[in-house]
Amino acid sequence: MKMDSWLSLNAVGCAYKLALKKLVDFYGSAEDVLRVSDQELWHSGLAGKGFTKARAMAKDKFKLDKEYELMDKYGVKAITLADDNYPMSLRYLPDAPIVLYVQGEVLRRDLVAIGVVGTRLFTPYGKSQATELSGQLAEAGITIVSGLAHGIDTFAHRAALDKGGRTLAILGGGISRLFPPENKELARSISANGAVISEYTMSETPTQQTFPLRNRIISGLSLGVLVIEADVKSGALITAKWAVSQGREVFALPGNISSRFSRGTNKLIKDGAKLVEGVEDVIEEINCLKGLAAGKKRPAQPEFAITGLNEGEGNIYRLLGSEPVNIESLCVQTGLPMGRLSPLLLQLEMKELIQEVGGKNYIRV
Amino acid sequence: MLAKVLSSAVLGIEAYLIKVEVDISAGLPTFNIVGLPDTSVRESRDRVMAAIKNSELEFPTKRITVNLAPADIKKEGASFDLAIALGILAAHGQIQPDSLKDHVYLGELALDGSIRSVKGVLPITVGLRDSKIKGIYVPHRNRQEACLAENMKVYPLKNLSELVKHLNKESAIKPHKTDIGEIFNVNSQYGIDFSDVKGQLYAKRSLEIAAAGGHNILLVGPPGSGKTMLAKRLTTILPDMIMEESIETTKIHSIVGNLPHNQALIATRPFRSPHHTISDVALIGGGAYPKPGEVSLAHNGVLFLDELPEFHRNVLEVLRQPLEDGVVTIARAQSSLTFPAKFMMVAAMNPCPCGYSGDPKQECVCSVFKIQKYMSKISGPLLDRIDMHIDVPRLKYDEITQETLAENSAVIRTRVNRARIAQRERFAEEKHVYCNAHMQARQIRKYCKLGPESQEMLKHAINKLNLSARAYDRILKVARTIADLEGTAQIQTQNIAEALQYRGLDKNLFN
Repeated sequence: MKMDSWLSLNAVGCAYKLALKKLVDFYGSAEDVLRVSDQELWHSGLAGKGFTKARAMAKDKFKLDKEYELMDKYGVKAITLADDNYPMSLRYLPDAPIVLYVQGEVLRRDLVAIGVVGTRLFTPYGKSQATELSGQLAEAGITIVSGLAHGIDTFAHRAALDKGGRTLAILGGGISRLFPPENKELARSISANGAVISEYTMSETPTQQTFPLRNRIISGLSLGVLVIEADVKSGALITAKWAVSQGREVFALPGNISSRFSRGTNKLIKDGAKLVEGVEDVIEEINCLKGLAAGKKRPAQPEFAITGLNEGEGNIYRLLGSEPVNIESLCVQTGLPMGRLSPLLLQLEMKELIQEVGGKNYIRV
Repeated sequence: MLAKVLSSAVLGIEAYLIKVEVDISAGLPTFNIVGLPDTSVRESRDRVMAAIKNSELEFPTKRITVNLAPADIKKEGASFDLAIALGILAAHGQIQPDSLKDHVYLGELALDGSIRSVKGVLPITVGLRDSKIKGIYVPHRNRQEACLAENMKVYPLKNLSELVKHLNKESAIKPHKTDIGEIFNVNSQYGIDFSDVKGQLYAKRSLEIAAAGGHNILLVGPPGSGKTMLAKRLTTILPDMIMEESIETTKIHSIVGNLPHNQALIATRPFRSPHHTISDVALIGGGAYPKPGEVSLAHNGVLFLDELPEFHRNVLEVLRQPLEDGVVTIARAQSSLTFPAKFMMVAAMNPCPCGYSGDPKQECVCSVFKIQKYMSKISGPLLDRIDMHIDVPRLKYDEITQETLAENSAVIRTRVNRARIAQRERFAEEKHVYCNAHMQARQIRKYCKLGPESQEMLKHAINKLNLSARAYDRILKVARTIADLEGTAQIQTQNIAEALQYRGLDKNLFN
């Protein structure tokens, strides 16, 4: 069966992932790549001894029946380069994955996608912007692609789902080895409104080597990559690098110059990435998105548009902004005793006008 | 000749009488002590011998047998020295045996015949107060402590020869008298005050509520934010200590012998802050001769556990029973003892291993995994016994230096006292419930009824803020305390709202 050979070839391990597409192009199909002799492969100049060893290993050790069993159990379909529904955006990349394990569905409209990436550690600013921007992009009908990691990735996925949009999560390991495990529930909702995708065999353990490679799929599936927060050495910057080499746009959210979490994004902007102040900056840059963007200007938020606040609540709300303000200084500024201030803050929080961001610091939502 | 002298020892915190019987008979000179003495008791032979000789008395060169009865309880410590020496002198005819009757003798002998202080004097005098003992002889150093038990004649002793003269009616030692009320008042002053803490209004308010309801509290904040400083001052706003509480606490401190030299009575609430390397036995008590642990030393006061996640897991788990019952039962093969351990627990921890998560100025460098691992060191059942978790932020320089007047402890304590009185009235008919924190599910349903509006608000909040179900009861208890502070009979909506603010760890701030 054809699928067998695609899966077996794909099981050679992450060191040879980038060469597989070239080999398949050269020999015509996965079956042929598996069949040709070692000597022939070496002469082709596309593979060395390491690859032939890995190929022999994959032929011997890779248990296809077990793989199919796992795919069944997790409701996963495999899409190969030979399939018609292989995503167009990936197909012509020189180092595209030859097999995608897909839990959920990749639709045609998912071609209009933006990657949203950032660090696992984040600031309140990064969290709120990731949520806001991804939410608005999703509302505009754009699919959000990200990596299901902690932090920014999680917020991007969640925002897209909350706004009823579509989102794709690209894993750095096999689908049965979901990482991080805390995001299992999130992954389930993503596969219902998009797809959880991996190029790794079902039970491949995620390692330090597997994550950077999957970043090329995030950028490859997207028209552009939006970096929310990143330090100078981070996976998000690797994704941006892939995006450049694949001819995708790179967008970066500017940040506080003293913040470690914005050093990477500010560096990207210095190097020519587009500075993003709002979702329209993203939409404007990508031609095919312009139609979607018609009339999607962000309304300026009027200062006192919020009604239904009593005087105390209004006073507090006015003192807050996007920079966290501590309860201590709120107490001093409003002159309210702590016993009055606390309940008011909670009530504002319940009205979803403000949010606590840890350490009793508050920001406007 | 045979002589009998009474002495006393402490088992757990209860005193019991020990009869010291001394027999002197003809034979080769020997000196034996029987009746399960431990090494320190057996060594008293040499001390007694030297002390008698050096007090210009005669040590009999005969066969001496000392029996400590009851013979089945292990004896330890040096406090029987005096009774043994007196027994020998009486059996040898140097003291009138009748003069020893109905009195109890405590004291460790020095080689020169002077009498050193001993541990556990207060529990003994309190325990013997209601027996037919007519008086007690104690070391001079312990005289104040011994006098705290009213209606007990206390004779202070400086050395052995003075006592022998007194017993032979050659001179007299006057019973010691003291004014307990005076001692209580002198010692009930705190050296620290709440107004020492600048800013931290949120934390101060939380501690006031915690003190008013007896709620255990967890302080979460970066290093240097003042968690320890705040916790230390919590004792100063707890309700005034009453004499009975004071005596109970002093008894426990007397047993382990850590009463300060010039202070006979502990009239301020104790603040115990064991280091996180403490063992479980040191924390709850135990040992071959069971001694009270830190939880009992914190009886009627505050037990402060700084760096909570750094404590060994098994050490934290043993805290669960005393937190629930207010007593600690130490069961050993030999015996099972109960020590009182009614304390308020204040725990402190950093929000993450590096300490700066949530700090607006300094960024946290911990990975998500590290933070989760750090938080998971505290078990759910223990966290369940902590009603309030609050954030203690680091203050900026100008907040520390600002000259606004902070309330002092006395003002806050008045409010706390008022709230406690309301609670005592409410729980007058309940057993084992004295403050809001002690309420069980049944009492919560009975005393924490909510109006429809408050009910709605709480339900809404639990859904919206992702609060766990176990938070529900705790929120009600804390809301009840806030209402008590305000003096209202019914819990108001804003009380619930404020109580919700003290459940920091329930809000999932990491995702």
